[in-house]
Amino acid sequence: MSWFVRLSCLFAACLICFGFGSQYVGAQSLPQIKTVEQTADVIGPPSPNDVKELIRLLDDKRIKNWLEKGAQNSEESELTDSSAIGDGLKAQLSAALDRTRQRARLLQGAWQHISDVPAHLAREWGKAIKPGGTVRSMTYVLIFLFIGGGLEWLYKQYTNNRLLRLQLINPGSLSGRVRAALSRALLIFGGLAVFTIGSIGGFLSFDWNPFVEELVLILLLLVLVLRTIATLSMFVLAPRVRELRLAPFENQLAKQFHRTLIITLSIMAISLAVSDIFAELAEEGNQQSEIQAAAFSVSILAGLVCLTVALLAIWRIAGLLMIVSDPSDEDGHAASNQRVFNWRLYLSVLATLTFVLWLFAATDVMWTVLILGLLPAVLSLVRGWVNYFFDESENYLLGRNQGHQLVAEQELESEVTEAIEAIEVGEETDTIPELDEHRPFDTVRLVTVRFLRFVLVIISVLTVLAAWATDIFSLAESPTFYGKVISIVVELIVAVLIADLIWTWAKTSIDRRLADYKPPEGPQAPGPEARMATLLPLLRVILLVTLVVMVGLSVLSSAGVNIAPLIAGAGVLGVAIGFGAQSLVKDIVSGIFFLIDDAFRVGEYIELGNLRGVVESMSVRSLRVRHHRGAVHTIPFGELTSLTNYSRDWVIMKMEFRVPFETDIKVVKKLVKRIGAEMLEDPLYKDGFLQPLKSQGVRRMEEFNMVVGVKFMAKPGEQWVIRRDAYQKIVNAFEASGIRLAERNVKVEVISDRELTEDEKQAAIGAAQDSIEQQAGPPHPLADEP
Amino acid sequence: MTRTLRIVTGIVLFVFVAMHLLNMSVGLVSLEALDQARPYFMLPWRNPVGFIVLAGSMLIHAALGLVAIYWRNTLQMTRYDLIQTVSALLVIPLLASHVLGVTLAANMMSFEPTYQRTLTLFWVQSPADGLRQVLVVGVVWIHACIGLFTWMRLNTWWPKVALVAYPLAVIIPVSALLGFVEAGNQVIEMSANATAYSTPVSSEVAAEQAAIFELYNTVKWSVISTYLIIVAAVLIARKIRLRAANTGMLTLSYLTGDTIRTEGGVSLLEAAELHDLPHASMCKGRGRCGTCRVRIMSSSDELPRPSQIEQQTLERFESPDNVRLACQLAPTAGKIELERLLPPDAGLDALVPPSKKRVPDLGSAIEPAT
Repeated sequence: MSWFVRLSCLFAACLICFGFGSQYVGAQSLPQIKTVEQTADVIGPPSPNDVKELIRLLDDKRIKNWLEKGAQNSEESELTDSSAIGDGLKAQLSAALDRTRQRARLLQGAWQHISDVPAHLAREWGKAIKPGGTVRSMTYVLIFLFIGGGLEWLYKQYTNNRLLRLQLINPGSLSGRVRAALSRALLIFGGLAVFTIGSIGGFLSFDWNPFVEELVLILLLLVLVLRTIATLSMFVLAPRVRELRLAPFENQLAKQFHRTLIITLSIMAISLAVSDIFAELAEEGNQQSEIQAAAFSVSILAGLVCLTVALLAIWRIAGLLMIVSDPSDEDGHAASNQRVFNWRLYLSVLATLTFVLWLFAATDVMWTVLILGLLPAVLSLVRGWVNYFFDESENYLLGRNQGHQLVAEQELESEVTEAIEAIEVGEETDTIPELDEHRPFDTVRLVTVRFLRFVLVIISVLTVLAAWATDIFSLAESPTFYGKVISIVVELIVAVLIADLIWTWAKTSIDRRLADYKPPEGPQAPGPEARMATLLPLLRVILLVTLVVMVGLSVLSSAGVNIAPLIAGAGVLGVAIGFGAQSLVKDIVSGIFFLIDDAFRVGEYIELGNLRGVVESMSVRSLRVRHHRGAVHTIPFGELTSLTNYSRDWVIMKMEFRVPFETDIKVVKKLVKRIGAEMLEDPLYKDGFLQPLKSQGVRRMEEFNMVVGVKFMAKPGEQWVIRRDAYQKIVNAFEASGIRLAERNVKVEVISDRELTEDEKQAAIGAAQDSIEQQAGPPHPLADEP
Repeated sequence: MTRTLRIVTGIVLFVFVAMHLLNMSVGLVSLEALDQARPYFMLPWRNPVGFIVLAGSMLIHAALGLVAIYWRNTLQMTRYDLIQTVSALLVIPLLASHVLGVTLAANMMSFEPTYQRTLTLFWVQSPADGLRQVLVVGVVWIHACIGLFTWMRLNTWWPKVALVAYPLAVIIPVSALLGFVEAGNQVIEMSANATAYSTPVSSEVAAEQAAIFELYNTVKWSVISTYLIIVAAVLIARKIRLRAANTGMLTLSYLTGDTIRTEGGVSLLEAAELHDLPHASMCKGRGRCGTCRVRIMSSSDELPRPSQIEQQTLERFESPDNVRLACQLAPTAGKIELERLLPPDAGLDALVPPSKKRVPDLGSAIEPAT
């Protein structure tokens, strides 16, 4: 991983070099355009009277009408122009060629007069500045810098302590690091801002002669740019304090890196500032071709210096990175070096190409090449950097957890030495628990990378467009072919990137939840996550389709295709399907809500209306319930109105015993209590019980007996076995202690004062037979129980 | 003694510079006001006593600086010390021409060195001198402020003074420089408008002036070269002294786990700061504040005895024998295990020995290293 980040830092350095350099290079290519403007300036500003007259004329209605008409005409002519795309392209191409040819001529001229350059420049310099002016402007610069520096010092006196505290605390967590970095940036750049305000403010408070003003301003800006670079580099690399560093370097490397960066950029900035000063000078010297050529050669020289320094910096930084590559793993070392080598080559070629293109005034192409060439480098830099940042934070989190664990173990060990019994416990905890495989920042990391990529791509596209056309926004508005293409391309890219961002975020979070879900092992009933696991993939597909459709539609609409009929068609189709699939939709939606309510889970015993059974499986649309006698019911979710779940939390089971009136209730209670205690002890049932078996005393009186109630509370599903054995045990106990269960009997009372003979008894029983059978009645249906 | 002398002479010089700069800032009003204000600002220094005090202070201060350089064990130093030393060395070569010019003009040519004349010289006749003058203002002021602030910071009245002292330290030179620019612009305008500004002088006077100018140049260059020779001599003498006391490698192991390997002869404070190890030190290694105290756990070689300064400071804190001042202890070689006693952001209350009461903290004395 480290080679990656190191590489990325290399690119950052180069990016800054190029970004900064090309800014000046861009400025260098301006003089030709400026000379054209110059001729317009020579005419001079209008007199106040002219201006008044113009205003009066502009207020005139006739003039207004005429102007508006003219504007309309020109618009129409523009429209006709835009139809001839081929001609425009050709014209543009030939213009570019002309420019290049002119540039080549200029180059040639510069080369021929190279020996005269210093003399020309010295002469022009003498003309532009009064004797002593040069030194004087340096005095001014020094004074303004002193003012800025003084103010910054004052600022520092009040902020130093805070800055120091910031670097003394070691913020380990991600948010802590970000906060520390932000407040540090605020403090550091606050100082820079104070410096800027002081020096530029001092400069602004005096009147200047134009060229001296330009000169002083350029010198001041140069110092400001250098300081900004130094501060930025200081901020990121923090060459002296390891804890603050935002890049993965050791002290030594960070220092070298910092120094290389500062030296390179200083040389580049100084050479470009010098060339800028001479360009200004050439502008002052009215259009003399020698001065132009001289200034041009200075700018070429500056460009060459920049190129050389940039190449040197690339090679130097690459060299630094190669040296520090981790030698512990040879393969990774070689591969990393190879990568550094490739990037070095790539960036060198890019720098050279940029320079050559600039030399031949192909500014548009130069910008395109530069930005598109740098994009991959910057992207991998950003990716590496984000990864590094999150890695660090994760390591910190893991490290902290391990730290806690270590402390806990140490405490345990000390206890172990005190108490011998604790040894076993100590050994148990001694096995290191599995570390969470899951990295805490996975989703954030991916989304951050995508988001930064999105921003970078947008920025680079806009910059390229800005390089090609002065005002892309108006061009994109205009009805020309290019305008159309540009707006379509921009919208396409934006839509795709946004969709990609959303998709990445959704996909990673869904995948994470799916990965988190572990199917239950053994007989354990799965929780609500089980259904989540079936629904999430569906959600993912729906999201993907939606995103693709939306991107497609937005692209079509930006391409000018009228998407209203499409949407309307889709709408009609949707309505039709909607009607047809009404109940299906109802099933799915109510299924989702049953899921959210957590009304049932697979394996639970439920009752739906008059159906009962164990939930066997669920699909998106329906529920499958198996009756305890084997029948399988399939019920769509939409049909479910109320649902009874018998498998939640606890069940109370009641039992009744009919005993004769003369039974001693106290004995019964005692027996039940004893059996309850016995069953609680029994390993077979003890887990099932929530409350033990207990007698409720006499529940009611009946014709020939009384009813004794016994109840217990158990976990759902366990009650049947407990009840079975409880019945048996209680009956046995009753028998053993002589309590008879009441039996149905018919007493036949014969009113007579003498003993009956056997026959008479039989006759009496026979007479009562009817009433016996009548009372017994037909047997009741058994309760439905598994 | 040396310390007191250095501070006293430094304060005298500082007061002079501050008054001179305040005078210069009157230039923001006008050129005439500048010259009108001059006698009042220069009043204490134009009489013989003031002049002698000033010149004496300057010589003593410079000599003390050279002596300090002679006694330095290493030229590797912390940022503050580096700025102090370099600026001190620069002052005399940069300032010589101005001081000599003004003195000679006043004493030999009966030619009052008014601001108008001097500024014409600086802005019109010889802009390079003007540039040098701005440079010297910056150098002198930075040197003076660092010296003064490190001294003032250790006093109990500092928190009250700091509120005024910090802004003043910026306002005085800034307004002086702005006055310099403003008055300079007036001078430039005047000289551009009136080419006959300088009244034609007779050839005799001109010859006399040329002779004096010659003399001035000779004196100036001889002063500068003498100074350079003295500096070189001091450096060479220091080298010889160091050669005599041969030094080896020094290894410092801190209790926090940091280890430093460095050349012997540096003080522990310098070693720590050169290796980016934050270390409390409010007086910047002058042995006054005691914030850099370290506890020596073990040492392979015999450590040098504490100097008198160190002894006094340590006694003030009633420290045990194995506690030393990091800024004063400069072992030549060996392995030392030690511990910093104060956190790097120690504030003013760290200065007060435990028996006395707390003073509110106002800003730490050390620079954050980023």
